[in-house]
Amino acid sequence: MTDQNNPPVPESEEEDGDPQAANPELWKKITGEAEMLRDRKTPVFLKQQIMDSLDDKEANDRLWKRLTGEVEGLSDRFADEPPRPWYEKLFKKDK
Amino acid sequence: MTTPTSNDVAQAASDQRDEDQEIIAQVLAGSRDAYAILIQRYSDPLYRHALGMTGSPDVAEDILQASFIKAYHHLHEVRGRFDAWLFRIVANASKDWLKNIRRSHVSYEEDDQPSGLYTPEEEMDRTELRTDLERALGTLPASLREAFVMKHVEGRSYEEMAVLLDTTVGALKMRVHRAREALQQLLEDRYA
Repeated sequence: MTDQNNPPVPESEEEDGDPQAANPELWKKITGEAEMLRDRKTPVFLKQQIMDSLDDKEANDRLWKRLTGEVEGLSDRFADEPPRPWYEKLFKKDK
Repeated sequence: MTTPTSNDVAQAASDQRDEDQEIIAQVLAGSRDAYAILIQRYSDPLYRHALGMTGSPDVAEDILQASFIKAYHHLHEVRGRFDAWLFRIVANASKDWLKNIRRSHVSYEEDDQPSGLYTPEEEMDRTELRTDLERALGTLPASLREAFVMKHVEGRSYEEMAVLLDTTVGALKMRVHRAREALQQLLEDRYA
C-alpha cells in the first residue's frame, strides 16, 4: 500500500524523473537552464585573492560569521539603530 | 581514441585523492604555496555549488573564499577525502546563508550576460525563465534545493552525491524527485 505522504523511493535514475513526463517541454526548459550554470567558472581573481588572504584569519572569521550567522549578533548588520539615551536630547538642547 | 571505463575514472579519482594527501602533507610542513593546487583543483565545482544554492555570484565568491581559508586553518583535521570534507564546509555555509541571511532580491541575474547564442527575444525568455526558476528554487527547503542543484546544475551522480552528503542514494533520489515535482508545480502555470 502506498502512503501519499511517503511515496515509494524511485528505483532507478530514469524512474525518479516521473514529473517531467507529464510536461516534457517545461522540464526541458528547466533542466536546460540549470545546465547553463554548469559552465560557470570561479572568477580568476578570486583564486589569487584566497591565496593572498590565507593568513588573515581574523578577517576570514568575520567574513564567515557575516555569511553564515554563526554567532550571536548576526542581526547587528540589519538591526535598526539602537535607541539613544533619553538625556542625550537634553544635552543637544543645551548646546 | 578509447573511451575511459568506469574503472579508469575510479582509478583517476583514487590517484587524485592520494595526491591531495601529499599536498596536504606539504602544506602542513610549511609549503603554503602548495595550497594553490588544491584551490585550482576544487574551486570550480564548489563555486558552482555555492552559486546554485545562493543564486548570487557575490555570495558564492564570499562563501568560496571563506571556506577555503577556513579549510586551510583546519587542514590538520582532515580525515579521509579532502574534497568531500571541503565540500561539506561549502555546502553547510551555503545552507546557513540560505537559512539565516538570504534576502529576497538576490538572483542569478546579478551578472547575467547575454550568451550571444540566442536572439534578443530568446534571451529575454531565458532571463525570465532563469528568474522564475531561481524564485521557485528559493521556495524549496534547503535539502531539496541542494539535491536538485547537485543533480541538475552540477551534473553529479547519485553515488557521488551520497558520498558527499553522507546519506543514501535512495534518500537523494527521493529529494530530487520531490524537488522536481515542486518545481514543476510552481512553474507549470506560467510555462505550460
